[in-house]
Amino acid sequence: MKPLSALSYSKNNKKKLITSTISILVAVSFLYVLQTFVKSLGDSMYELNVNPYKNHMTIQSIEKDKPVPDNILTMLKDNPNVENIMPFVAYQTRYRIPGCFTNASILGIRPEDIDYVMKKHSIILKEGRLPLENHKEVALDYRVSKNKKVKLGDKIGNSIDKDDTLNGEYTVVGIVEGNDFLSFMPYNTTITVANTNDTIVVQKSILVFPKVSKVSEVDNLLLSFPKKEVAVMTLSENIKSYNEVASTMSTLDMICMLAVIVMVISVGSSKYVQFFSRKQELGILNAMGYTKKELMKKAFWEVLIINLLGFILGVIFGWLSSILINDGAFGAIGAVSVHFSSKGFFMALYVPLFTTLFTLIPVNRMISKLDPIVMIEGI
Amino acid sequence: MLFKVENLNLIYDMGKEIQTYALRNINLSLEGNRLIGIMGPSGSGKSSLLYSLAGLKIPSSGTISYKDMKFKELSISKSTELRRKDFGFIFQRHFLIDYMTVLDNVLTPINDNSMKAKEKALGLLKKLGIEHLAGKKPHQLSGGQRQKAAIARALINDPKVIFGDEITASLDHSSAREVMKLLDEYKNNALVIIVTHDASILDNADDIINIWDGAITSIKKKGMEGYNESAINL
Repeated sequence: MKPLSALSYSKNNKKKLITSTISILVAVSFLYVLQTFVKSLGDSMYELNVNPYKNHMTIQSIEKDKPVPDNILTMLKDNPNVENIMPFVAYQTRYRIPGCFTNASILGIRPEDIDYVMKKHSIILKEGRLPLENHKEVALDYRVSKNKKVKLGDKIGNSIDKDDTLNGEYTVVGIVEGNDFLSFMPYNTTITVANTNDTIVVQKSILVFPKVSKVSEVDNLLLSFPKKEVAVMTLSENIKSYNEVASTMSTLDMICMLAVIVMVISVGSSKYVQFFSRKQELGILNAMGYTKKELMKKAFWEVLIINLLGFILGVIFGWLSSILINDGAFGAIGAVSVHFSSKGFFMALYVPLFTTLFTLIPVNRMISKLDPIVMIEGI
Repeated sequence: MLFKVENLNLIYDMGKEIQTYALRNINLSLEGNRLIGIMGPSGSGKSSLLYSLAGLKIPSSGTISYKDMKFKELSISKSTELRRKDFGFIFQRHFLIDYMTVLDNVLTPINDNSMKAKEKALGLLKKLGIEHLAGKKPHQLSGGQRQKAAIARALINDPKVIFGDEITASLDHSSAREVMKLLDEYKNNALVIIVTHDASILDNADDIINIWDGAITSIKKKGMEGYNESAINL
């Protein structure tokens, strides 16, 4: 190690190195954890709200107690891109994730349709059995059961938990597993209460299954139906709604940027103070024959090493913290636990980049004004 | 000719109503490997002359040449390179870098950590009697030991000129004499220029330049019978 190398400086100033590195580490890991936390929230919301619509769409009659108009049904049946349509009842049950209370979809479908629906959504029965017709039973998605902390034989509904959006009391008889976040109940039209505040029961609702790779065509077809007659929910509409909600998260990005600015100013200032206290050293080196360019290069590598080290350790620490925090807050309740976020990585990268920049700008000014004689004579 | 100084003036507060002459109309030629003392009271301009010769102070007028190279015609990089390769500096304060070991401090001017460089540095420290302190930090050393380390640092690049500014000011008399003895030994290899206001440390000086109020008042050369009028001035 050359005596004037940045590594030699780091080796000889371990305390300063550790202090400065910790500042960067904390800033980087904080931003990384924040971003993975937000991504966990966003991805959980996406899976919950968008995934069910990847393989089916819905049409519901707008007018109370009126079915979906026949002409629309005929158009659906005759459309070559539509594989199947079937009636269903839409239920929901409370699903809690950190930062929001939302609902998970439960499809009430006829026993003869259930195999088809599960196959289309690549859903398998993991435990127990499927609910029976005219029984107050439910087969929950495994993530929903995890979220509600229920197992086979437990009951759900607002009779058990007053915050639940599912009206009444239902026994969990099965746990299903699949990517599309769907739970199932029988087509219990006789035992549901229509138009309550909590349970959305639309008796005249239709599930529409597009043929393989015909999702966008059917999506467009449904969106072309008169909005005064039917309410449609398609994949594109869901993604659009999700993106609108997600755009509110940009406020969080602003907070992150503010945090970056505050951290950069504080870390950069303390680094500058460290350099300022070495003004004499730099002046003497200049007197001995080191150019200001060489001194600046030395300062650059010293700052870079600290920032690079802080960043690498910060990302590792942030990643480990994300595993701990997000697995506890999201993974443990059946939501998506994000451990890696490219946005988090790049946002965290701003800390060492800007800290390096905002340290080196004043240091450069200081070095360029350096007068070795002033240092030697102690003026 | 190693150094040639012609009509050198160094004026502070140039352009202001009251100007201060740090150096006035200096003409000087220095050559050979010898020990030259620059004597004068505080504020007489002796340090200004030393740092002008080292290229660290830019004259207000006149020229300073080193090996026929005029300082004012040299680029910044060339003049810094010159300081690094040809000059060695010993300041009144040791200016050792506090977080480095004595050995690393000695190696600073050459920024080399090769075995050869380390051996050379250790050899210098041995010669100065502080080899056992090579791994110590400056704050663990006495004043005399620090100044010896600073001398080793000044010698590591085999300089052709050694500039010493009041190098014994912070030392006790015996340490001061010891340090001067070391420099006296080195005068066979380089031109050693020492600024001091203490005449007693210049017993072995080959020439003594007396300076007063920015002007050279006399230059004495060591002869058989003490110092005589010197011939080193222009």
